[in-house]
Amino acid sequence: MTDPQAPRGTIYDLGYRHYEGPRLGRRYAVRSLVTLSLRSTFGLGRGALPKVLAFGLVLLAFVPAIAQVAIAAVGRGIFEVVEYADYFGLIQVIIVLFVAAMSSELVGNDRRYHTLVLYFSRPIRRDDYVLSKITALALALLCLTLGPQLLVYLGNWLGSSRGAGWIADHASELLAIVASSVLVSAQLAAIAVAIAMFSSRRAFALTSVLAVLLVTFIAAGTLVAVLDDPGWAAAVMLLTPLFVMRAVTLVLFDAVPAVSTFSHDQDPADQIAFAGLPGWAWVAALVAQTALAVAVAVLYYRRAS
Amino acid sequence: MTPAISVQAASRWFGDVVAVNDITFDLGPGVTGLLGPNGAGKSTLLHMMSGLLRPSAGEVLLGGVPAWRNPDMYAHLGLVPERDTTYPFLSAWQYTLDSARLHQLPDPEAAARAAIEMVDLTEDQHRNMGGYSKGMRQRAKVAAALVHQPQVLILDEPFNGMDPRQRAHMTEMLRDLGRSGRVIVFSSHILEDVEHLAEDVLVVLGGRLAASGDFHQIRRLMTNRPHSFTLRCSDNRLLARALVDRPEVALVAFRDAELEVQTRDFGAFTQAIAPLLSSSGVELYELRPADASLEDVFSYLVQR
Amino acid sequence: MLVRTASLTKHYGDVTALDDVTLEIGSGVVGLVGANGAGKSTLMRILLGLVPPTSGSAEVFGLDVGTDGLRIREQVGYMPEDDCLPNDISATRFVIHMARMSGLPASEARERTAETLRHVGLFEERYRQIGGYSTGMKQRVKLAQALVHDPTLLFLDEPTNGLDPAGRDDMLQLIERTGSAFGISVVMASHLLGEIESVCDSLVLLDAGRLERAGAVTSFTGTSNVLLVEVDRDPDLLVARLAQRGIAASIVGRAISVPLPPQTPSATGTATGPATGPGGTATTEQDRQDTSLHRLVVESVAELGLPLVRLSRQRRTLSDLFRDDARAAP
Repeated sequence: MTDPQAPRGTIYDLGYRHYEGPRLGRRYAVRSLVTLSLRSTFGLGRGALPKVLAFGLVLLAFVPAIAQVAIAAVGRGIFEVVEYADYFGLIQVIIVLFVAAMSSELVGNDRRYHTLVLYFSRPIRRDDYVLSKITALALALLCLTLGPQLLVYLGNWLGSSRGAGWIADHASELLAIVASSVLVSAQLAAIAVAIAMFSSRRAFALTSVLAVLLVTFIAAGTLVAVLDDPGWAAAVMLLTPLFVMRAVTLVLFDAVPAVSTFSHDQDPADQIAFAGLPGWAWVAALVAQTALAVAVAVLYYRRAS
Repeated sequence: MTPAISVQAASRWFGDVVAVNDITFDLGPGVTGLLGPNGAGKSTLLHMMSGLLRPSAGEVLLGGVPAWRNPDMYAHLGLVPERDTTYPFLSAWQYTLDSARLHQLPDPEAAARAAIEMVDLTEDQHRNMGGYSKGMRQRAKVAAALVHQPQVLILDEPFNGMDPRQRAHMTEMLRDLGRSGRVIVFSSHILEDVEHLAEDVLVVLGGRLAASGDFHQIRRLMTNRPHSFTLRCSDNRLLARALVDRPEVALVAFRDAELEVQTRDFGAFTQAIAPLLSSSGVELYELRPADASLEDVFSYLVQR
Repeated sequence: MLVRTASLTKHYGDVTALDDVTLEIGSGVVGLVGANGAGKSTLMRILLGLVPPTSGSAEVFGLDVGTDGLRIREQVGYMPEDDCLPNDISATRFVIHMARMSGLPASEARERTAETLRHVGLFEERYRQIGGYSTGMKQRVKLAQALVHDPTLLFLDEPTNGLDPAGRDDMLQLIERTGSAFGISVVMASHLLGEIESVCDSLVLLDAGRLERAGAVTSFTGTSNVLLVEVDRDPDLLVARLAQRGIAASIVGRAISVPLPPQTPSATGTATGPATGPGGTATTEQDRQDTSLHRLVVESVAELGLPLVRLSRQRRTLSDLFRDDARAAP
């Protein structure tokens, strides 16, 4: 027991201390980058506006699913407002808006403020930066692709009031939901980043992404409607990201319509059917587009700064 | 004799921002350095002196005549602005020759040749300026500004981005020009450059003129700041005892192997120190002023 | 040796950024001197593994920059010259993120960030968005993100850019502390010789991509063989009196310049040449050799009743070095 009369007082050394703790390496750094990018996509750590935009779009994406579940709950039977295969088509504009806005933010900011050099001076590989950004955007997109569809699936299951047996029967649907969501998210994320990275001005990047995705879709649809040759129609559609997206979804849900005659009504599903391509061709096209976008992005950032 | 440049109670505001606030000074032959932090009003002042900006209040006169809207004045004035005004597709020769022609000189080629030689660009004069280093482009700008042999030369941040060798070269050149009787005014926010070149300084802080003249003299005028000297001798303690007895000595401090002495009376101290050293019997190794550099003067001015 | 290069060359198309540079950099604070475009930034980028050399090789900590760039970057911090901070995030959040990208786990990153921001002098402002910071504060954030993971070597590119004289002083003191108190080696690029002189132990001079000079700062500075005497009036009287006593002196600018006899080696055999410590703490040997002359000067000043302002050996500064170079060749 210290003598209460003895003088007390200690000064603690506040000088610089070296860091002796763990250094977790590249994988951890990449994970952190993905996490931070994901957070900033949803506006966390930034102002109110980015949050409103992000969560607003997500909410809009869920609307058909919510409607479906609500009606099913009230209607007491399987009443399908929307089919899985059609879901993306329904919320297409929302998905594209989301990916355009977020991609311009994700890569635009670092370009605008020249922060890239600070990332590259970290112990990560050159490619890690852009691959992390694409991954983060794809993960964010899953909220609009996988999320709502899972909700619909859940609603259908609850509405069936059957329990585990229903899931076993509808397992292939679940698989298709997951597969289509993952593929589409990856494809759109890669393409959006590959376009947005060329401009540091947000508005410009955003409109570029919108142009490449939506405008090509509309133009292709119009073009295919006047083309009589399935071969040409297929070629045009294979080059158009949103057509490929729709096609892959239809293929995975085995929902490609069978058309005997080709009507010029510009329904994308019909147009896809008209092309007469085997399912794997569309999937291959999606993978190719994604791979190309990723390659362009990686090459671009290898030469940057 | 009319001073070459006379600024009289000049102010310049841009909306609510008062860039230059009631500044008065005269400039004559020699090199004057305009010194102050970024945004203090140096550029604005230089633009008023070169007739490019009109004073919102007061007057800026060149040779007794207002500088504003006075194109005749440009026959006697050369301006080297801060921005890069050179064209990458022109050579220094062409650039300077054009300037000579614009000034309607009787023999533009000869004038251009002389100007190029003055800035030591003779060797590279026919290369395109796009391939020049920053220092060379600066020199080209100076050549174009000097081609008509103006009495007054105004330079806005001439040392920006230069390496030590280019700096030294530009300093020599400007010093020679100042010695030849021209009026040279240059601005800088880097004290080193001003200290090596300017005979007189104008210190601008927040749009106001904080001090002007020879900075050694300015230091003497700061009577509220005791002067600091550093001393080293063979017996610091003994000397310290002798110093403490002197009324003009305000402080004696031991710093490692040196003595720091502060005095409020520069004159009395400097008058007394030599006899004191002689009589005390110590051997003097070194005596030097400790806070009279331009940097010290500037920091004291800023703190006011 | 922390850094070694061998015939390091870098071309960007027609432009040669680095030309056959072979150098070694040891511990301490090293100044990298040169104009804009002289190759300082390029050298730093190659050493960080950000840019591959066109030819030649470079090693940091014995690791090759081409193959082991990642491992090098684990132990190196970089403070770039240009603006590189995002506007819409706070300093704390940004530096924490950078710390994590250097491998620090979340809570350690948070702690190190808080400490590092304190060391660089950012207090309450650290929670505000960087967009609202002054230049000085932004420079501190740049330094903090370079320090937060406790690197062994720091690359600072023009760290006092855009700072006013007071801010420049603060930053230089911080760099000096980093080198001495923090025990981290620093390579600092600057085009201001005063900074290099006050903070650096050694320097490397690059000109148009070539290595022009390298060596300890003290080998370029130090005292020369000239004694400077300043009196506040009538210097010509003093010159005359000194001449009477057999001392040749002349008036140079504000001062009287007295050439000193060349140094004789001391009895113990240690050469005391023209170079001495930059702090002016000359060797006692040299002081003793000068004192008879000093005594004569002081006596003369006292006899004449002149005010004495200065009596010291002229110091060679780095700018003298370049002034001589400038006179030698344009």
